[in-house]
This record gives sequence, structure tokens and C-alpha cells, in this order.
Amino acid sequence: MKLSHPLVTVLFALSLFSCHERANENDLYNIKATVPEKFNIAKMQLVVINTSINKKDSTMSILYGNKLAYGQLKQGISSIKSGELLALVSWKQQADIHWFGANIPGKLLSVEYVRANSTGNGAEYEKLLAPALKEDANTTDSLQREAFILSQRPSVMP
Amino acid sequence: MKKKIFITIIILVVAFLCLQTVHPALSNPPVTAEITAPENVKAVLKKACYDCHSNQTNLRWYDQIAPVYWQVIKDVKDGRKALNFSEWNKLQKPDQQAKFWEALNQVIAGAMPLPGYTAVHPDTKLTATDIQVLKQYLMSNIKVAHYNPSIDSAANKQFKSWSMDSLKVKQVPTALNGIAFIPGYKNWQVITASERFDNGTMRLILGNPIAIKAIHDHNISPWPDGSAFAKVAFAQNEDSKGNISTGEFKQVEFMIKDAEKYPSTKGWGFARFKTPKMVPYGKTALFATECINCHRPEEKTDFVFTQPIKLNQ
Repeated sequence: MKLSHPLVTVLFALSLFSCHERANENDLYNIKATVPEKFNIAKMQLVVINTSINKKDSTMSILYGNKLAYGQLKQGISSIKSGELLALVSWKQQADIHWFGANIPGKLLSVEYVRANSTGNGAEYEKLLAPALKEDANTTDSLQREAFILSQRPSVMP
Repeated sequence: MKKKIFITIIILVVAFLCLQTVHPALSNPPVTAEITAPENVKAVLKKACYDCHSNQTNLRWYDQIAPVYWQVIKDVKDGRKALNFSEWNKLQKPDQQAKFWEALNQVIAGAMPLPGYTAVHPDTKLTATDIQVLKQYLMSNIKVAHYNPSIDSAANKQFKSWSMDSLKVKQVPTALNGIAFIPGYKNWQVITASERFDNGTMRLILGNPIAIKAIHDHNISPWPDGSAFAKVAFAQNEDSKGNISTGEFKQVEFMIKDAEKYPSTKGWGFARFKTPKMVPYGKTALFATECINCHRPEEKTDFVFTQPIKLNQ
């Protein structure tokens, strides 16, 4: 046997009695994916509707909506009703350091809203960009994005 | 004085020799269904895992000295029960995949091989290259999801029956450890989402109001009693444009914190309900040992894998 064996064993035994390693903020939370407080889920009374991935862009999203919007999507209705509000939060994906085989949300990219417009007979689209959630001036694909969000199928949760 | 020391030594030697008479046998049962894998993968498994996770245990002379020997016997017995590469093909294919990914994650987390074992057998430690070999092997086995009309229509069918309320669980099922299904989980807030490319699923992780408050208050180390999570798993469903969304509902898993009630599983109550019928997972109440064994490397974060996203909710 090598001389190092008993020494290693003793060190290992000692390590068992040492304090537990303390978790820091970065161990506990996914800090990178933080969404600014401005996106107020409680105030807007939003519930989670589904999650989706775009492999091409390596992004990941969670769709939220108020109860009215959730009910409409659950019935497969893609036209908007007065009072409806949907919010799609998107992140760049990152590898999950706790599980080789998983990807989780990384850097926040945007929050997109689809809501009934003031006249109540159509939809209004707005895209806010991370980090400060400032309105995106580029509106070229708004109609496409609006249709994409309104066509989402809620996750089945029996 | 000298005589006393001499007698003490004699007593100790006799006691040590007596210990050696308690020597339960450790046999190597026949290898009936050994894993088939590329040579380089198998070489890593043989070097680092086979002593406890196969029927080809190789005991060194110093492993056979009591009382160390008794611990060795226990480790081998526990090891074979949890994962046995000599009886690998008795498992269903998806279970083999799940076991292998879990094993590799235990290695990456430093939980396996057992630190006490590598301290005495340093040659069994996995090198960075060994880990890379295992990673590449698993990645080469991944089936990439593509748009599949039949998967999509099955998901749509399940969605329709759910949206018409016909998937409601009529009687609340209970797992074998006494934890009942919590129908209200779907009203909880989301903590994070994840993509699991190891098994082609995607997940929403939800938290009950106590858990959400704890996240908000920075009070999750440890998580307070009463915190509960629901991890909801779905098949990945790719549409014709390459967007992947939640397809068929697969299962919901619960973790409920109660330090006094669940001391044997580190203060967490575990339960898993499969398919929309919510069939409880496990053959005996001991299924929760499987859960905590996988979660054990996450001690630093109170045995929780999920890192919550900070959200104003």
C-alpha cells in the first residue's frame, strides 16, 4: 500500500466533522435569469400557461396570462377578448450545472405582451427588451409574434 | 508497568483476531445480463463502478480485514441493489438510459464513487477524460425530437379531453409513503422551467405559496417547513416550424418539506404520480429512498436541484 493512503483516509474522516459548505446566492438562485420587478406577476394577476423552447435560437419561454386569457386559450380560441392579457417571458438557454442532461433559463431576453386594445375589438402587441425592459422600437415582426402567442396551447395539468 | 502494556497489546491482538472470525461471505453471482457498451465506456465502468455495481467485485486483501470488511460488504450489497451492470439488460431500455444519466450525474457531483472508497482505492477515481467518455457515449444515444404528426395529434387529443374537464382525477390517489396527490398544484406559481434532453421531456416547476414567499424573503437555505414543489413533466412536442412546446402530460412529482415528519429522507416527503390517471410510483414505501439518493449530492441547497428564478410574484 502507498504511504499516502492512511493520510488521505484521516483527512477524509476529518472533513466529515467540518462545517457544511454554505450555499451562496449564486448556488441558491438562478441569478442570471432574474426578471426585473417591473414585471409584476402578482399585480397583473397572472398564472402560468405553458413553457416552450426554440432550438434554433437556443431560447426558452414561459407563457403567462390572466385568468380570462388562460380560459380562452384552453378553449383553443385564438382571437382576443376585451380584458385579456398574455405575457411571454423569454430567456437564452443555459446548461443546468446541477444536471448534465438539462437546460434551464439563462440570460433574460424579453417580455412580450399581447393584450386587448382599448377599443376592445383587436389585439395590441408590445415587446420589452432586457435588461431594463424597455420598449423595442423594432416592430417588424409584431403581427407574427402576436399570432404565435395567441396560438399557444396551454400545458395539460390534470 | 511494562507488563500492563504487554497485556493490553495481547488483549487488543486477540480482540482483533476475534473480529476476523466474523466474516460473512460475499459471493459473485453469475453475470447474466451484462451491459453492452463500447470498450472505452466499459473500461471506465469496470475501473470505477464494478466493485460495488456488478457481480464481478474485486476485493483487495486490505478490503477483507474486519471491521472495514463489514462496511465493504454493506456497500457492495447496497450498490448492487441500486445499480448492477451485470444484470443491466433486465431493465427496460428507458430505465437503462435514466439510470446511466443518473449515475453520471452522481459522478459529476462527486457523490460517486463513494469518497471513502476512492480514498482507499485512488486508482478507481474517474479522470476528466473518463467523464468525457461517458458524456459522449450518452450524448450519442440521444434521440433528437423532430416534428411528428402522430405525437402532435396525441398531444392535441389529450389537451382536448383535459380542456373539457374529462381528465379530472375522480379519487385522490395516495403514494405508498402516505403522501396524497395535491390537485391544487396547478394553481401554484412557477419557479422555473427546464428542458431535459436526456429523456426528451420538458418541465414546469411550481411552488406553493409558502415556497414562493420563502424565495421572495431569501429564506430557502434551508427551505421552511410547509414548502412544497410540483415538478410537472411533459413530452416535447415540436411543431412544423421547429418550436417545441409541452406535449403530452407525463407525470407530476411532489417534494414537501417537513423536517419532523420525513427525517429519513432529509426532511422532504417525496411522491410521484404518473400519467393523467395519477398512478402512484413505487412498489413499496421505500421508493422514496430512490428519490433522496438521487438528491443527496444537492446537500448544499437543502437537497433541491432547482434554482428558482427571481420573479415578482
